[in-house]
This record gives sequence, structure tokens and C-alpha cells, in this order.
Amino acid sequence: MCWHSFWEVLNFNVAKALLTTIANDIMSTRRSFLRHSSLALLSMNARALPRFVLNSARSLEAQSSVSDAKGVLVCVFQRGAMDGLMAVQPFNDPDFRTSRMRLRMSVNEHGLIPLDDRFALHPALAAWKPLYDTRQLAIVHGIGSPNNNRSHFAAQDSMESGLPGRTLSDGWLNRSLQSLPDPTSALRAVSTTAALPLSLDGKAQALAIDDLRTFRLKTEGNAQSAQGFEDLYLNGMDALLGHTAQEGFDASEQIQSILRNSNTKNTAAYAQSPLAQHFRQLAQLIKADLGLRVAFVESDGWDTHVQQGTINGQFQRTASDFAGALSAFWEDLDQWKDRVTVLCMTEFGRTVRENGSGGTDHGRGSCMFVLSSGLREMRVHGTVGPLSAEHLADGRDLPVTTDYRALASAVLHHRLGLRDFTNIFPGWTGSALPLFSS
Amino acid sequence: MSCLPMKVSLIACCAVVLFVCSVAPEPVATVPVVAEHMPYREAGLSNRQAAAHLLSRFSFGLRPEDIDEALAMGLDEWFEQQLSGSLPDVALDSMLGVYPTLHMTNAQLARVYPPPGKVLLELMREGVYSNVKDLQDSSNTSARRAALRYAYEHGYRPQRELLGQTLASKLLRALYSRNQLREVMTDFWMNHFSVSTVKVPARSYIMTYERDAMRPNALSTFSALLFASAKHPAMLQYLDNAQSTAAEGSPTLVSVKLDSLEHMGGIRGWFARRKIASMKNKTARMQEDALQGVPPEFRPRRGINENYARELMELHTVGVDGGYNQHDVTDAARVLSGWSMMPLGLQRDSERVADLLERSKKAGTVVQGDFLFRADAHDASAKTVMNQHFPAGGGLEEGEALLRFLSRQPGTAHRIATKLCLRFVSDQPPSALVDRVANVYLSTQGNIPSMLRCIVHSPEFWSPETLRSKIKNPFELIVSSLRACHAQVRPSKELYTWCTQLGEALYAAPAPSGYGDIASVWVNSGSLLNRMNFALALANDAIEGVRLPQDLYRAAQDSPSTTELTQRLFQELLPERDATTSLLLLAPYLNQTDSLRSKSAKSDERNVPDFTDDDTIMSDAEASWSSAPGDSQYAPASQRLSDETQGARHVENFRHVLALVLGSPEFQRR
Repeated sequence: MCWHSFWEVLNFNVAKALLTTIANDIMSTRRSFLRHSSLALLSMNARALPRFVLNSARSLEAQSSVSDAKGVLVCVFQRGAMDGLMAVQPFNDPDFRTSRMRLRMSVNEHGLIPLDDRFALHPALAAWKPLYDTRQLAIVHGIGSPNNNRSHFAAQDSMESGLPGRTLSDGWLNRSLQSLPDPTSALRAVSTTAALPLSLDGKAQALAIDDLRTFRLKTEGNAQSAQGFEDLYLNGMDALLGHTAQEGFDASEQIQSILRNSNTKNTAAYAQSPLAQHFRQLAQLIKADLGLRVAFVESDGWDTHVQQGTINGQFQRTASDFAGALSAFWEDLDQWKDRVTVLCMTEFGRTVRENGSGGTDHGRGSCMFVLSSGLREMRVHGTVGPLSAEHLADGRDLPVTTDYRALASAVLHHRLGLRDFTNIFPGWTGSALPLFSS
Repeated sequence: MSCLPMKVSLIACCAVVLFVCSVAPEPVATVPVVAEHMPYREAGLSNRQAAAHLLSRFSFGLRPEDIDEALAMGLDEWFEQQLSGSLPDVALDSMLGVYPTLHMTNAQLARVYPPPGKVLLELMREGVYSNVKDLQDSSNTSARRAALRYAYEHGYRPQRELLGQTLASKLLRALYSRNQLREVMTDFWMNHFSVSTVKVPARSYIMTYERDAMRPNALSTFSALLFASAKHPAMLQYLDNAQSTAAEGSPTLVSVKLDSLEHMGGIRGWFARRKIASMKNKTARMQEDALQGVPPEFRPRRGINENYARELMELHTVGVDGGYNQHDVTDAARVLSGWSMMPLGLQRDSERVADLLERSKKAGTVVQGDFLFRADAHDASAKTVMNQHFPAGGGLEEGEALLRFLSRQPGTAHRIATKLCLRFVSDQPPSALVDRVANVYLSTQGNIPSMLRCIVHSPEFWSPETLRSKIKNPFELIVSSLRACHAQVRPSKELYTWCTQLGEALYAAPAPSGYGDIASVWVNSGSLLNRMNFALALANDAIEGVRLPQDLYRAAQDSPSTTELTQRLFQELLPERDATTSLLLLAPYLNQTDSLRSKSAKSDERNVPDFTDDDTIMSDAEASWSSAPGDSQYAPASQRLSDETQGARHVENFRHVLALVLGSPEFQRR
């Protein structure tokens, strides 16, 4: 029996509706049944249903959700507080130059890349210059949280909560998912981290997938063991572990199909760093087209208290890895670029003045990046005043002149089509930055 | 490279001063012995159930015989013995004897396991190669070989060797130490006062940090731990305080003294001015010499580094809501400026540095072991931290006073009490209990045994909401699995890789906050699948260096049915836990297996062979040792034994059941 000819004969939409209904019925029956009964007979029947029927129904269901949707928002959190003044330097500010005797850089000597007459890109971010020139990269400077707290953990938690100065039990990305109308997919929200970040924590389902390849139960050649684990977890009374395991069992089948699917092949070269590999797998997830809407990636190494360096040193290493991974990802996305927006954020910036160890300490404003199509203009957004002490926050730090929620809401609107931010950013009354042309 | 700035400033601090600093002694807490009992009968628990609960919280995993032992002694007595933490550990000591680094000093470690950056600088200085790019270029094998030869000739060894031995000692201690609570608390404080291999200059000292600063104080007082961590090279490097000096232009203890000498009148003043001028000259030349080859942006310069001061307040003591602001952080950093470490592992100049150090002691510099208080780097002006005034001219004692002040704050008491209750009671500890433990902290000056006694003497510890409510963290899961099976363990990289894959990279916490101690940190769908995979790998003898003992297989042969075998394994591996639900859930699986088994038994009456033939299993296992857990396929070892006998089926069956028990929701909890 040839299924291809069968599809040709049958009206596609009818088949799609039919299969989706069947599969949904079977799956919901199986789940509710598994939860409420310890009889094994019926569950064996559900298992006996050909896997390809379930899979094809799933991918049809997923396809329909993507065609209606506006694509994928990728949030990259640069943990440790990126020195925004090092990444995008106000290179002609006289106070900036005298504040950083050891860290100051120039166009001629260090290869700073001027964006205009005020700002220049650190050479480690050179791969982004063409993206900036073609309006695929937006930079917002002097941005951060209005909350005047220089603790990494408090600042990250409140930024991820979406409520300055407070830590909530769920994150702004999760609340954004809750207001999306599209159907639930096991892979609707994914964090490429070992544990779920606060941004994605909450009522809407979200998965932490550190590595696609290991996201499966390794019971090779033994269906019985797999059944044993399912029985123990899905039918039991351990709500926390049972629910989590169910998500895992459901998603692992789809993930293994992604790895077998030739459409998800990477077409760009990635470095071997953990960050680059996370982006590589994220590109695979996006290309698999299984209903992904929000993704989260973590970038470490920005806490440059010591030996920050100029063209060598901790900043350069971290920034090269970061820019390289994102550039490869962007290239890899190819025709998917139009459906993806990347938002890079960091908890705060660093002191204008360098410290005694060739580094910088915790500050206030930093800069944030957006990679996307549909950007309106090619310029550094936000407000950065002169860097003399009287213009600085607490006499030492770049002041926050743009609330990060103004940027986040612009991105949420553009990529996820959201308009109402009352629940996502409670109490916030500002307006979205006009970054996008549509 | 890390010790270079300090060395240079040491040279710079050669001066004549009279200040002698006295070290204030640590307050000794007097501990009232609380004559109470553990109220478990009131909670309706049997002696055995109570022992199982107590051991599940205060050890790295229990076996039925551990319960017997604790009951024979009496639970209160067992707990007191654990609180003293001084049982002889002969068997463990001999296991650890094979790791030479465990007995080395910081100076030896700095000498033998230097950070790669330091070796790199030497290579450039000695002209082994001229350019960093030569070494970074992986195709340039001759440069690499030259570098390796240089390292070998100078007795340098790779830092991963040291880390490997540190990991091995952590694992072996958790598995075999009779002082289980001391190991549990060492793990707890290592996480609270977290240091991490993420920071390269700290790496050489993490082993001694655990050995000298944390373990000996793990069951003493909070302030003992706070002082030990503040003065240890690992913390001084991890949070950068070793590099924190008074800002350019701010007075230091040394500069104040020099100023007063220079302004002396008469012939003495003239001599002083001459001597100072010549010394400054000499110092400048030595500095230039020491800095040869160091790029300008990496050259030491004066300035405060706030990193440690901030985390000291936010993470180690009062907490982020502890009532301090940015000004307090900056001034705390100034109070602690000059808290640094001895220049360790010096090859050249060691005599010159020793001489300079000796002379600078007259200027207020203090040496305590490997801790060094630098008079030349300490900000001598007045400071105010959280309304505590520190007048100008203070030395080492003002930092010690700050630590003592912070350790006595109610905020610190509450924070430590909360963290202890999160670890030992539940993810949402009752606030009444937390308050009680915080009060014990305040009334005993942070006595750790008193706080732990308070927890086990509280009804909340024995309540139904508390029992089995904690999800094991990855290290606890791995160690308790190995202990439950009586597995024979040769510490292997694969075990640590498992721990990392379950979310806990040992000695490598990504942030100074350490790891959270609640379920949401550890439970997500990916890590849960991997917990099941770990159980499968362990049950299939597929983990490098881990072997299940023969006795376990015998249990498989002795059990007439899979159902009985499963019951038995639940009793052995999860003593005093109610396995009824798990057995009920597994009923379909067990019935199916048993019916297959009875069918095959009729058709196959052959004798049981010796299926645990060492050579076969070992060689297969060894073949898979090199691969990471993510890559290997855990084909049951019994399948490899190609023998289609009932015995092989027994083993296979046994492995399935063992994996299900170790991977069950019950086993994830303690």
C-alpha cells in the first residue's frame, strides 16, 4: 500500500481534519485514561496504534498553528551584566576616554567599528556590522530596569519577572504565552538550558532542553521498561513529578523525529562552544516547524570585574562567542529569518570608570540588541548623555533612560502580535519603542 | 598571572612603619545542651520510620542496616554522634590515600597546578614562543610541543588532574564516610559560600577551601565559616578581593605613614626623605622589571573592587533586603581593601619578596597562613557601613569587626535559618520553625549543631507534610543510588558527567549564589528523563567505574516471581517507604513479565549459569567507558551475554526492575 498515492487521491483538508481529530481523541483518551486507571488493556491499544499515524497528525496540527502565527521570539539573556559601554562605545566622549585609561579603545589602534559619529562597535561584534547596515540589527542604548539594584540575582529575577524591584513566581515570557491564542504544542516554548529560567516559568507549558540528543528515555530495545516508567509516573499521585514526566515523554518523541527530519539540517557553521551549540539546536527546532513560539537562550561570562581587556581579555572572548553564535544562527535561519526576532537583554550595565583590577563593577544602564526583519531605521536608539560625573546615576553609572519593558513590548507586539501588556508587565504604563516599520 | 599585581604592589609597599596590628580573637560561643527529644511518636511514626526519615535528611542515603545501627544506638545518640562528626574513618582514609594532591598546601598547589595564564606569561618571558597566537593555533604543533616540554621540565601539571582528585574525594567521602552529617554540611556550606572553577585563578585553591575552611568548621559556628572563607585564597580570588586596593589618590596605611615621615623636621626628616626617595626609585625599577611583557590593559592599577563586599552582604550574610545601599557596598569594599593572599608558587624572586614582606609588616601588613593583609593597599580613610562607623587609620581589625557585625545581624540569622530549613525540612518551611531556628542562631552566636538540634526537635520536622517532601538534588540522587545498591565505585569522570547532565556541575556553580535548594531548580522534563536514564545505566552496569555487587543478582534468582522481586527491591532500596502505590502502578508490567516468565520456565529447565562472569562484563563495560553518557546505548549487559538461558533472562529481568525502582518517583524523594 502506497501512502503517497493515497494522499493524492484523498482531499488533503479532509484527511487533515480527520487525522487530527482521531489523534487528539486517542491522545486525550490515553492520557486521561492513564491518569485515572491502572488497567493496562486500553493503554496497550493506544500504544498499538501505528506511530506514523500519531506523528503525521501531530505535524499537521503543528503546521496549521505556524501558518496562522507570526513566528518565533528568541530571548537571549546575557547573564552577569554586559558592559554596554564596551560593546557599543560612545567613543568620542572625552569623559569616557579619561575614565577608562586601560580599557579605552580607538578606531586606528584597536579596530573599533564606527556606526555613526557617536557610537562604535567593539571589534568582537564585527560580524554584526553588515546586519546593522541592512537594518537587521537594532541597538538600544542606556536601557535597563528602573529598579536601582546592582545585585545580579535580584536584578535578573525582577527583570525576568517583568516587575522592577519584585520577584514574581512566573515570568514575562510565560505570561505572554498565556495570552497567545494558538494551540498548545509540546514544543511551544523551549529554553535551551538545563533548568527553566524564571522568564519562562509559569502556567503555560515550557520545556528546558539542554541538548536535543539526550532528551529521550534510553530504553533501547525494551518497550517494557518504557511502559514501566510511564505507569509509575503518569498514573501515580506524585503531581509534580508526574506532570513533568508527561511533558518529557510527549516532547521526547517529537524531538527524536526532529533529529531524523532532513529539513532541520543546519546550513551554517557553528563553533563548538555551548552557546553556539544551543543556537545550532534552536535553529533545528525552528526549522522543524512544530509550533515553537518562544525560545530562551543563556549567555554567560559578562561579569568582567577583572582584566576585562580590550582586543584580548574576558570581554573579547565572551563577545566573540556571543556574536559568532548569533551570526551563525541568523545565517542558518535562511528563509526562516522573516519569522524570527531575537531580543538580547542583560540585567544592568557596568561602571563608567574602570576599577583597580582592569575591570568594571556593577552599574545601571547597558545596551540591548534586537535581530529581526522589519526594522524601521538604522541607528542607535535610546538616549546616552555626556559621561561626566554630574550626568551619571549616583555619580558613577550610565543612567537608565529607556525602560527595558518598552523594548520588550515592541518585540512582543511585532513578533507575537500582542497588544495588551497589562498582565505581562503589571503596572507599567509606558509605550512600546517604535522600532518596527509595521 | 593572577599573583603578579599583588607581587608588584608588595614591592611597592616596602616602607618603614611602626604600626603593629593585633588580631582580635574569635568570640567563642557557649552552647547550652538542649535536653529535649525528637517528637516523632507524637507524629505517629514508628522507631524505624523515624530513623528512616532522619537518615534520609542527614546522610547521603540509607540502607536497612543503617537504620538498624542508628536504632541500636538510639536516634538522639546517633544524631549527637553525627553532630560531633569525629568518628574514625579508617577505610575511607585508605581509599583517599591514593590521591596525593589532597595533602598538598596552597603553596605546593600554586607551584604544581598554576593557572594556564601564568604558564603562558612565563613561556613568553622565557622566549619559548613569542606570540599568543602561536599557541592558540591548533595546527602549530611545534609550539604546543615546546610549551608542553617547558611545563614538564618545570614540574607543572594540568589543573584538571587536581580537580579530578577533588571530585573523587567528594564522591568517596559522601559514599563511605561514617561522619555522614559532616559531609552533608560540608556540601551545604560549600554551596552557601560558593566558589567555582568557572573562575580560573580560584581553581588551584578549591580543594584546600573545602578541606581547610569548610569541612573543619561545618559543624562549628557560622562566623568561623565566614572568617575562614573571607581569608581563604579561593574566595579571595573567586570574588576578586585579592585585587581590591585603595583607589588612586586615596590614603593607605603606608602612604599616611610615609607622609608623616617626610614632613618630619631636622636631620631625621632629611634622612627619611632621602631614604624614601631612593626606595621609591628602586621600587619603580623593580616594578618595570616585573611587568615586562604584560600588556598595558592588564597592568595592575589601584582601585576598589566591589565584588566580594557586595556578595558578602547579599549572599553570605544579611541578604539583598538586609538594609544596605550602594554606599554601604562601596564602603564595605574599602573596609576590606588590602585583604589579599600571599604570593604563592613564586619561582624567582621568592627571597626578595620574603624580605620585602618582612619589612612591610612594620607598616601594618599582617600574614596569617596564606592570608595577607596589605597595609599598602588598605584604604586608611574613614568609612561607614550600615551605620557602623570605622574611623580613619584602621587596619585589619576593621574588616574583622565588619564580618562580626554582619554575622550578628538578625537578617543573617533569618537567612541562614531559612536555608537550613530549605535543605532539611521542606521547600516551604513553616515560618514558625524558621523563626525558632533564627532565634537559636541569635542566642548561640550562630552555633550550627544547636540550630540542627532545634530542627529535629521540632514537630514540623516530623509532620506528614515534611516526610518525603524533598526532591534529591543530583549529587544526592547519584550517591544515594550507589549507596542503596552497595555498588562498588571507582570514581570516574562519567559519574560527574551524569551529575552535570542532571543540572549540578560539581565545584562549578555558574554564579556566586551557588545552587538553589528547592525542587523547581532540579525538576524539569529533561532532567527527569535523565534521572530515569541514570537508573537504567546503573542497573545495566553501564557506568564507568561502577559495578553492582553479586549479592544483588542473587536476590533475582531467589525471588519466585517478578512481583516478589520488585517488592523486595523496594524494601531494600527504599526502606520504610510505603511501596503499595508503586507496586499497584507496576501491576500490569509485573503481571505481564511473570506470565512470560512462567511460560519460559516450562520450556526451559536448564540450570542457572554463572552469569556474572567478570571478564565478559568488564571488557564490555570498559569498551564503553570512553564514551559520554549522552552517546552510549545502554544495551542490557545480559544481552551481551548472548546466552539465551533462563539465568540471562533472570538478570535482564532484574536489571529492568532495579532501573524502575531507582528511577521511580519515590526514589527521587527524601
